[in-house]
Formats: sequence, C-alpha cells, structure tokens
Amino acid sequence: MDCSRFRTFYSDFADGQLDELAEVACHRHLAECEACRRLHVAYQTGCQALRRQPRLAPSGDFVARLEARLASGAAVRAPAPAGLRQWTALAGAVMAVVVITTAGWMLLDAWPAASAAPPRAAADSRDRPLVVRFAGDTSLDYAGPFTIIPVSRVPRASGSPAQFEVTVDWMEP
Amino acid sequence: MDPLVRERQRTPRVPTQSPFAGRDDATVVQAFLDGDARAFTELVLRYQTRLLNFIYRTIGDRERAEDLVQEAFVRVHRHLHRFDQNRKFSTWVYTIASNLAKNELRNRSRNPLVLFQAIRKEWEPDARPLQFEDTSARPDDLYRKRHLRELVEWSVAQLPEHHREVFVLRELEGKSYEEIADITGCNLGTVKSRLNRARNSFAAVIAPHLD
Repeated sequence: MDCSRFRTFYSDFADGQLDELAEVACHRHLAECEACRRLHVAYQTGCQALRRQPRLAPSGDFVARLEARLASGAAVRAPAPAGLRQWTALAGAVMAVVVITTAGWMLLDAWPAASAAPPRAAADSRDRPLVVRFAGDTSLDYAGPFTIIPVSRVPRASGSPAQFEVTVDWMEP
Repeated sequence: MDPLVRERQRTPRVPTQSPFAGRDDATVVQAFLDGDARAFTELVLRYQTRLLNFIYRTIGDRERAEDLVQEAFVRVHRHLHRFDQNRKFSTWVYTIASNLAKNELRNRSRNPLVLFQAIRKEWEPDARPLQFEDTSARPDDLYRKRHLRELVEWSVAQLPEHHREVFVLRELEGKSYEEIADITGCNLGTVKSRLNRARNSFAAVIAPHLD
C-alpha cells in the first residue's frame, strides 16, 4: 500500500469500516511510513481536542423567547446581520414597491377601459405618498444588489400582523 | 438564620421531571400532534444545544447561530403536522438546521457588505487565529493545550463549507454516514468522499503544529 492509497482509505480506516485485509495493510503502512503516521496522529489528536471543547449553551432565555415568538405568531424571519438590517429592509421594500407599482400600472393599461381605476382615485393616490404594508409572511422575489431574508408564505386566514410599512413617493409609470 | 433559608433546608427539593423523560422522539412528536404543547418544549430542550453547536461550527458566528436555531424550531413547530413519522425526527430537524446554515453562508457570499463584515470580524485582534510562533520557547502544557484548542477551531473553520458540514456531523454530532447523507441530501459515496477529504485536510493543517 502506498501513501495515496492509504489516504483514499483513510476515512474508512479511521471509522473501523475496512475489511480485515485492508485494515492490516493500513496498519502495516502506518508502521512503515512516517508521513502518514504523522497525519494519523495529528487527526486523532485534533479530533480529541475538538471533542473536549466545551459545548456552547443557548442563552438562558432561549426557550422563553421562542415560546413568545410562537405565541405571537411571528413570521418566519431570521434577523439580518447587524449593520445591514435596516438598509436591507428599506432597500428591499423600495424595490418591491417599484416592482409592484410597475406591474400594477402595466395591468391597468392592459385592462379594458371599463375596468380602469377612475381618474379621481389615481389623482387621490398621487396626492399622498404611497404606503405599502407587508402582511405577516410575504415572499419577496427579485434580483438586485441586496439580499432579502426570505420568509415563508402563510395562508391568509392566519391573519398575521403586518411586518413593517414603508412610505415612498408615488412613482411615475 | 433567614426563615426562608431555614424552610428550604427543612423541605427537601423534589426535582421536577419532564413528563416525557425516557420517551423516544417519536412518542414526544405524537404527543405534540395530539395536542400536548409541553411536548414541543421537550423537543426544544432535547435539541437546542446540539443544533446550536452544529450551526455554530458550520457558520462560525455564535449569535447568528442562535437566531438560526430559533428559526429552525419555528419551522419545526409550523410543519410538524406534515413530518413523515417514518423518518427519524433527529434527521429531519438537523436537515432544517443544515438548510438554514447553508442559506446563511450563501447569503453572506452574495452580499459584499456582509462578506466584508465577516472578514473584518475574523481579523479583529481577539478573533484572529493564533500566531503560530515557536512553541519551543514556552513548553508548558497549558500553553500547548490553549493553542491546540485554538488551532483545531481554526482548522475546522478553514475547511470548505461542504466538507466542514459532514466533518462536524460525523466528528462532533456523531451522525452515521446514512444520516449525514439524509441530512445533506447527498448520496453515500459523496458523503464518504467529502469526509475523507475533510479528515485529510484537517490532519494536514494540524500536523505541522504538533511537531
């Protein structure tokens, strides 16, 4: 057995999953090859040290926070990394508003005149900034420079509360 | 003596045992599906530490790992009614955790700002991997043990993500090859191949510093 073959078999050897012949061959190679023996010792020492590391424990209030979150019916939304949260949320909301608004205008144009929103309503909308509310679990899917943490969709009947709302200026078509 | 202290000393404390102590996961899951909310808390208590350590080892951020463990349990709570009870609950919950960890790593790699923050955090003085100085100048055991601890942590973090995941699942979580294949969505041959490479890489990084 050469070093290349030994290293190919190494994982099974470490787990004791080789047949007897192969295991004997590996042990013989280890006895003869200082380099592979060195690696084998390093692996064993390293894994022992790794397993001796103290295990992380969750924060004392982990269960309480989880139960509160479940009780409030909070959306499945993991918070974004610190420093990026606000900008990601705002940028994502603005992009989503642009997409939704553009799609809405395109739809309105495509509809027969009888179905179009009355000019009065459009004029009213233009008088005020657009407020967009995102319902409890809303999937946003777009391509852009920022990443939105995806949230899963829930049935409308769940009546989950709004996540956040964004006020932007009305966009020209 | 404080009367309260006296009272505590007189009244032996009877430890409250979980009603699900000694029951397997399948039984606890069924209890939850039958309407016992305490069963879900039992599942959380059983898996919170394991999932935290698994996700932490995979993504390298303790605070974020805890967020993702919370996320995993929210998803478990939401989808447990659809869980195939022919599967092991352990494998299912680790799969959820694994997917969340992978998404986290993927999101980081896409966002230059987050990637920059991750790199900066790694290179803050107290987060920097140990300086591999000449240990023969300070041969005491305590020094060696401390450095070995830091060294193995750093070595695991250097593994490519898909190698690191199977390495952690095998070496630290004690999962079988079949379970790892199930959790990662890979076939058995891929798991063995990745594990073999991870072990060889891990040993190669550590070996020079043990000489």
